[in-house]
Amino acid sequence: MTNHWVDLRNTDCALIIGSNAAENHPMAFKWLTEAREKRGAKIISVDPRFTRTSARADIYAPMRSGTDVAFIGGLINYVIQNNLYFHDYVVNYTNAAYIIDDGYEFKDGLFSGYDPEQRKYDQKTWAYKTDPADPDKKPLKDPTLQNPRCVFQLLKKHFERYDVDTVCKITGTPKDVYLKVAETFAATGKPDKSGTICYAMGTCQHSNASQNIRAYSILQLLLGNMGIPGGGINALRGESNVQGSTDMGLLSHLLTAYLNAPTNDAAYKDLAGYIKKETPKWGFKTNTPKWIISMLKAWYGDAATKENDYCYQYLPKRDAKRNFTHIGLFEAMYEGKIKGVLIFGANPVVGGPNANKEAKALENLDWMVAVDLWETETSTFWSREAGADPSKIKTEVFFLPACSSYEKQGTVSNSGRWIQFRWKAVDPLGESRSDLEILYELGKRIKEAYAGSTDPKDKPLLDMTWDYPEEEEKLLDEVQREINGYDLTTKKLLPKFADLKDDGTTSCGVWIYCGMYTEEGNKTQKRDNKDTTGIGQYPNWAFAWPVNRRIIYNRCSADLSGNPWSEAKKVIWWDPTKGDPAKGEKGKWVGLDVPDFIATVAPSDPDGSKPFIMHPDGVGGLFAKMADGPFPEHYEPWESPVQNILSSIQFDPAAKIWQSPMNEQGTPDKYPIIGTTYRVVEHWQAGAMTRNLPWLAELMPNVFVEMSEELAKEKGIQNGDIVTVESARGKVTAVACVTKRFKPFNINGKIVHEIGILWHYGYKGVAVGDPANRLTPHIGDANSNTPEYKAWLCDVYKGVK
Amino acid sequence: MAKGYLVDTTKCIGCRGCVVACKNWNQLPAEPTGFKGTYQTVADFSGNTFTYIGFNEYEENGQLKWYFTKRQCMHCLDPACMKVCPQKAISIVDGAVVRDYGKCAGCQYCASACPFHVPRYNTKINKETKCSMCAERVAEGMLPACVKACVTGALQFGERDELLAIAKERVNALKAEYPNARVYGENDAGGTSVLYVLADVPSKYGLPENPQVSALTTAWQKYVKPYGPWLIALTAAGSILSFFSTRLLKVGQRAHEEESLHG
Amino acid sequence: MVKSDEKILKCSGGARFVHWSHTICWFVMLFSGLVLFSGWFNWLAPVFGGADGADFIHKLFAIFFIAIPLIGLFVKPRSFIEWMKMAFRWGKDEFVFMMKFPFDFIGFKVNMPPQERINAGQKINSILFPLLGFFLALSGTIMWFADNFPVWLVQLAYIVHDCCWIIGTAQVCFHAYLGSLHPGSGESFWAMFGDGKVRASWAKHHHTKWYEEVVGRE
Repeated sequence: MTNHWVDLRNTDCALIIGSNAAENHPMAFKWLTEAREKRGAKIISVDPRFTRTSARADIYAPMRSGTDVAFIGGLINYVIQNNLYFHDYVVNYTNAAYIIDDGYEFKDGLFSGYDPEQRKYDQKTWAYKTDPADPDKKPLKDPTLQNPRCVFQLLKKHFERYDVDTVCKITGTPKDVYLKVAETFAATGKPDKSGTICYAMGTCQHSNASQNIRAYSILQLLLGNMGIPGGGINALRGESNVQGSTDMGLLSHLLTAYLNAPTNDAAYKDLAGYIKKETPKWGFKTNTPKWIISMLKAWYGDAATKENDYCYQYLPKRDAKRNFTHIGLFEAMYEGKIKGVLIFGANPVVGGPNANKEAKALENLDWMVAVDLWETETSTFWSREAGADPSKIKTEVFFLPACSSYEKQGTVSNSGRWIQFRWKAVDPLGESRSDLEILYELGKRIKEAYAGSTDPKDKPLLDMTWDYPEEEEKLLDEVQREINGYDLTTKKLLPKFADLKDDGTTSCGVWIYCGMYTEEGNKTQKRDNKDTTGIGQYPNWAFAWPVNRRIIYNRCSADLSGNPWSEAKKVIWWDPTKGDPAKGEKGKWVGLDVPDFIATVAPSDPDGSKPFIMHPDGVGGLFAKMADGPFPEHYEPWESPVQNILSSIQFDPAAKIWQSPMNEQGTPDKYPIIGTTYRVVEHWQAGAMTRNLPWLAELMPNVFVEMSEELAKEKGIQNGDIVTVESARGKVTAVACVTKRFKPFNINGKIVHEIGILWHYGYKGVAVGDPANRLTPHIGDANSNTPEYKAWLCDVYKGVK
Repeated sequence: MAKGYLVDTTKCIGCRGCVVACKNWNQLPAEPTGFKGTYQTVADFSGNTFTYIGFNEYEENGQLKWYFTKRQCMHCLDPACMKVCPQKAISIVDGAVVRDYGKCAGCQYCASACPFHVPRYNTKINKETKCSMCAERVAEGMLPACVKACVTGALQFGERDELLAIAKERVNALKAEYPNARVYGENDAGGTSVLYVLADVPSKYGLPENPQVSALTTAWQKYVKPYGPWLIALTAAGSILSFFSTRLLKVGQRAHEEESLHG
Repeated sequence: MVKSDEKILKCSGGARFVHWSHTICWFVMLFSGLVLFSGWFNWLAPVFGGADGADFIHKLFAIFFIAIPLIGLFVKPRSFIEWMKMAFRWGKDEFVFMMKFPFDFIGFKVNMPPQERINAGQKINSILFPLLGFFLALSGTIMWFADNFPVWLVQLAYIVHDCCWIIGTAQVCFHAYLGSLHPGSGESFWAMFGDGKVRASWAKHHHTKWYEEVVGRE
């Protein structure tokens, strides 16, 4: 979230797309309900079916799964064509005025530089045009936005094709409803109004998912909704600490705090190379050397010295050509290339895409360690219950009982980036241990096993700092301190990341978390629920990264002279009376939040109006490099019942296609129905934590598949019947929920049916059922490789065959 | 002044947190259910279910509606259950219609008298059970478990008068968009401590349009119970009368034939 | 000819068993039921170990109450049919008996028409009790398993149950008085209470038709 949960109450319009917030983030509705009641805010729910969220929305717009770019593209076009964008904001705070390289072009679904062999773009032409005579290579700009090669005009031209009629032919949304959505959300383009986009997995789990979010960014920048209360792009995280997990660098391409992990590319051959590659010329990211070196100091302690590049070479350099994301790992496992796996609280046999294949892949392992609260479908993948033949499986499986969140302490980072400490409520049951203790013990024993080794390749393990206290409470405390970071000369905790240094005198595990645990105490434990800001910032409740900032990009809330665009939406402003003249300060940024800006840089200063300080050019990117294009473009999902009517390019040209066994692509002649998966409020993720609870099992006892009355009639299915859903990958038996809330789509004159199925279920626990992910494919987003769970093809029929 | 609930159906998202909180606080076991084509898997009250959410979907003029209704004891101001209870086990405490399970005989009269058919038989304790407005929590200054669990503010707890004022204000605000909006429970069934803000007619929420104590129960309560036993008294009195009159009249009469035979 | 003090069998052992076991059930259920009926009878509750004890006893005896006649019916179906046939056999003598009965009840001397083994009043009793018993059992079952029946049926069951036991108990009062303390009834009371036999002379006077049938015309 660029904003935070409580801030939802400040919105004038919430566009909830790719999210069933009422179902999966009920707490969001605490604030949205308040916005609605107190401010008359409008809630728009865009979803393939009418959901619990839609029930509480002012407008419900049906949309076929996998057509988000078309839907939002149409809104972008509507905003531009009707001059509803926030002109001054767009000109000054985005790259709208920047002129693009002459080589850039877009033709029939493809951007310039495409290599069909590699399914990859050469992004050379996707660059700003510069004056060859300018030694600084400053981008050329046209603040009038009239130059046909400026970003704004290219954007306008790109999305011109997304007129309302075309969009509705793609998405299946009734035209009048679509226009109502456009009119309502575009109304937030005024300075005193804000609109928020709330999204979740319905946006992210597509083959062009990153471009869905890019489309949201463009729309929000055009409407001036970034950096203001009640605005922003808000990812409603599907798990209480998934924000924390990405902050900690759990993704395969990242170190901690979104520092890119080095690859085997020659550019990363040493620390200087890494710094050169990763440090831009302008902006806050120029501090990258401080962050990476402080992180290395936290990891390798005294062993990290300037002479040895702070142990930079200990970092693994992954093969840039190989894919280490979820799908990539399981494909490698299926091919027998992975020998062992540690699975912490994950249940891929239920939650992974193409679950049949992922269960099969586990059979190729030599060993597997499952760490979980319960015996899950994954930890028992080898059993007869799972449909496997134990006599043929050689995998040695270890099960380590983990304790639940109430049996341990620690922090979780919520969607709004608030790092909140949770105290232990009860002691763990039996031999169960916290994940941290398990990891600590593992690290300790591995180090012991390698002790005394002189093999250079064991050095990273031996030099790794692992001198934590044994006792859980102290262990956690020390890990938190290490994440925050120390001034190594004074051994004092660092107060903020601005104090990090690149000379090896500071350590910091996760630079964005710096400041959460200072000499003043553990700020994640702060619980002052008094709001001193009037807009619900609660600055003394927990600690939000970065530097306790609650609304990021908040410099955008003020105009070029530093005054709020409007009184209603003010966050920070320039106060010329506050600066310290002795230090040569002309004033100071003050207000209701920690400024997302250098606090003493005046609006009149050279870079005083570049609000996006993390971007190399300081402005919001309407045009930005992504694997599959600088602008979002609609492509059909990997499996789609219809042809792309916008271009001859059917599928995202940069998405990786896994041509491997057990991952057949379904065709519409055999599988004419669109399938999607989702959750219900009564269960959580792959279900181990809720399907084992009788009270929740009582509420949602079986896996069900929702379908329209029209489809049910066509297939002779009655409400409550047992039906089979079949895709090219597998079959699932479920109870039919025939409902008015799902309607067939009219896609360019063709009636297209969609069904939705819950993915929580498996054969273990109190509430049991078939895992819906037996149906989903191994295909991922072009940029992140997030699996396309949300749009695939299937057929449905009555009974079990 | 007495306590009450306000259920604002226009704010409810049907998450059923209240249902689980109720079971948790009251330590009520889960019952076997099955998904039968509706989200309303817990379809009705039971001896182990004091509250549930009704799910009703409609399509009107192409507009879809999905109404979520939290159902629980309405805590009537003039409760029929209390009137029919022979053990005087039911009383009103600060707006809550509560039962003294020590006094309750398990006769189940209250169940059929209730105009909302709320109390249900719990076979384990052999009593009719229902929501107590978490009287034991309220007595300690806490909110009822369901209200505590509600995330959206659809459930509020407080003085009934104040809640009624809030409800009316809310309905006024809703009227423009929802002409059928109304407060339910102000006077329905003689007034209830549980008030609803409805955006549509009560029947669409699964609530009775005109809840009242049935004529059969009234007849039973008003006529059969008070007057019936007099019939027994009458026959007993007749028999006593006969006992004496037969003997008095016989004084001057010849003894009965069989008596002479007997003698 | 039988001697006047010779005894003849009026009620069979089975009939006596059903009668008295049912009588016990009736009174246990009456008093336990009173506790459940109204707060006026709360003072009775301690006898049953409290109100829920009364509920328990009431339901327990309800099982016997239903089971006993069913067993009787199963063991001796013909006796029951004979009994019912007799109860429904109404002639002039029966109606005259009933018309004259109030005078007899008050104590006037009246000449009653000859009666069968059970007189017209007893015939009414014989019809009424099984009927009330049936409805009490039916309505009681509905009340016991109330959650499984429509609410209106349960509400109706309460009225039926209460009407039945009230009428039944009123009838019990009459029956008990007429069968024991009413002049001339001692004989049959002791018969029912004892070995089931009555003196022939008494039978001749009170149940002339039966006497003639059993003993034969003199």
